[in-house]
Amino acid sequence: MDLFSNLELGVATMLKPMNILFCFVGAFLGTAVGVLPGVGPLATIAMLLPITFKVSPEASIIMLAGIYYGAQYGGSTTAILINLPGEASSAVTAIDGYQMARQGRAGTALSIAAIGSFIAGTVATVLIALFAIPLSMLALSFGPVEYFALMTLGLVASITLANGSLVNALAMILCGLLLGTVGTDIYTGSARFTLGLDGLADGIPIVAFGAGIYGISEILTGLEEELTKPAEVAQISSMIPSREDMQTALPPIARGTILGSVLGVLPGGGPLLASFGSYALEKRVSKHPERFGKGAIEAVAGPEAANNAGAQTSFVPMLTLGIPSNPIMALMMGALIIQGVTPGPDFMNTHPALFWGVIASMWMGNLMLLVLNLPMIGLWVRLLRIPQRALFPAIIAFASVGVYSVNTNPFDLVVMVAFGFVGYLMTKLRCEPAPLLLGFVLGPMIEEYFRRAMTISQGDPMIIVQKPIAAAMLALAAVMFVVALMPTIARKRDEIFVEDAK
Amino acid sequence: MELRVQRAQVSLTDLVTSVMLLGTAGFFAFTAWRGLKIGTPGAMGPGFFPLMIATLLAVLALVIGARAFSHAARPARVAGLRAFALVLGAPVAFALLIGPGGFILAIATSTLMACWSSRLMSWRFALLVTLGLTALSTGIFVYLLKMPVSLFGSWAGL
Repeated sequence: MDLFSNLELGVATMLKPMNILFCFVGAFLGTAVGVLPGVGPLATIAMLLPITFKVSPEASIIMLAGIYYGAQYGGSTTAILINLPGEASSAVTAIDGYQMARQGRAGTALSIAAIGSFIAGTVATVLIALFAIPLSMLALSFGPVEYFALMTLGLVASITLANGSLVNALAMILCGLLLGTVGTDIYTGSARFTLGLDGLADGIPIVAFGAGIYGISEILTGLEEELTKPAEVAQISSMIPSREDMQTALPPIARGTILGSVLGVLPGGGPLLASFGSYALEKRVSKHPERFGKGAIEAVAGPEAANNAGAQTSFVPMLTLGIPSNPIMALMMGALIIQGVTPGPDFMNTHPALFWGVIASMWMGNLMLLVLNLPMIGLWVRLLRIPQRALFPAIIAFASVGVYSVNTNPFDLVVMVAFGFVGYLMTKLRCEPAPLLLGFVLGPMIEEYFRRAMTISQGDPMIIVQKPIAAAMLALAAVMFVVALMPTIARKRDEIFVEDAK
Repeated sequence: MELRVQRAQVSLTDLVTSVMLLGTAGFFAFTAWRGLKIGTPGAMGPGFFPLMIATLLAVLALVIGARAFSHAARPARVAGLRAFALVLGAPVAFALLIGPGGFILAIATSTLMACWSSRLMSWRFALLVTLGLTALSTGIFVYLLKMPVSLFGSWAGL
């Protein structure tokens, strides 16, 4: 099948009333959680996963995807209006966006952010469609050795591009891999590390795990310092940007789209890295870098385009290779697996309607977001007045019911609470939860491929070096890790993410 | 509440991390060694991979432990005890009540508990939130999504 008939199938899938509805629900919820500080897309997706099991895999992934990229739109709204990024990836937008708002140009900043995101989302959708086929063709020729190498590369790359201590992140991956081994061994049927509990016989339930590590632990973090006053919201004047503003903003949008698309595909990349990268790039190419930090429109347009492009292209490794590049993708992959669909190289052949439908829905979702965000900005501003003390009980209630409903097993709630505590402890010890989740999801697969590879070679580990593709991937992983450990690069990494820590 | 560092040159954060990771690695390694067949690289038993990963984790834990003595760490803020007890207790209350008490009692109790995790909560507001959320989740989960639960549970004699 060629690209056009594929896209035709995708559009046909997207236009089913059920899918349109869920795309809208996803985009709407995504904007809402993006606007609300303290509620992230990860926690939301973890909470809503159980609900999605009641609908078709198409509708559920379309909705979850909508939440993910919708949050990128919503996050910028709070960043511009109250200088409080709703999402980490909007932290850069807050720098110049809020300055623009203080100068009475909040409307311009908001519409440039939305238009930039829309353009980036549209281009990224086309890019995904173009690159998905060749990537999965390549992956189809892979055997267990190559898969083992590819997953190792994915895990290593995901931590070298993320922030925080490398050694801690590596340790978190290993913990994730170990947690992934809990449950019944697929080859021998013996129970492993279940502590004799029936609830762990099928492994640690992923929804409870995700809801605990992200939802519950985020609430504990939020309760450390409670906001007593509702934030002050900047006044919005005209929403229509001037011709001059558009002309200044378009080149950064184009650059941000390309940069974001590339950084999104990389494991561990995605929207956060994309927006920081784009800000740095715009500052470098600008003729007036001194205006940055004082309300430069380029510094809003570029990063906003980049984070949306990055959010979308981060679907590529999950959909084509079966390797999630960030925790949100890991949760979505978990959702697909529970629905009986395993993403991987032959995913687009076995489930073409699902694959192309999701891609087409991204474009539709972006269109909906444009409508949701520009004329309806007043609604989102009002959302900022909801006090946090009403949100936290809602998250806890929905997470409890949601997690319970997956297996109708009360034990899953105990798992959620346990991992909520672990997640909170981890943030206190400066260990990122993201590599833990990635290791947990990839663990069972990496173990299976490792065992199969070693069985083929009769226990000779040298098989990894004898296969050229696998050897190249492992070498690349080693190089990335060593480079990231070098003092100069390590300092650069700290600089890039230093804004995020504030 | 703050975790204070005893001596300026030791990072308590790294030290605690190291000990916790060693404990995790130890649990997995010990359980695999004692109860599972390890096998050989060519014919791996269920314990081979976990033992291998746990060994690697133990090495990393020692690296982090050694690093603790090279720099000082800032004290960390921790949420209050009340927040802990209520946020972690609310889902457990739901788990305990869903069978005998039924859906409505379970969701109302856990929401009310969650409400009181905030220091800024008032009775009026807490009751309002509980009432609203109970109605909302009953509507969504029980009526819309047809979750197989009883609304009132065995205590009501139904």
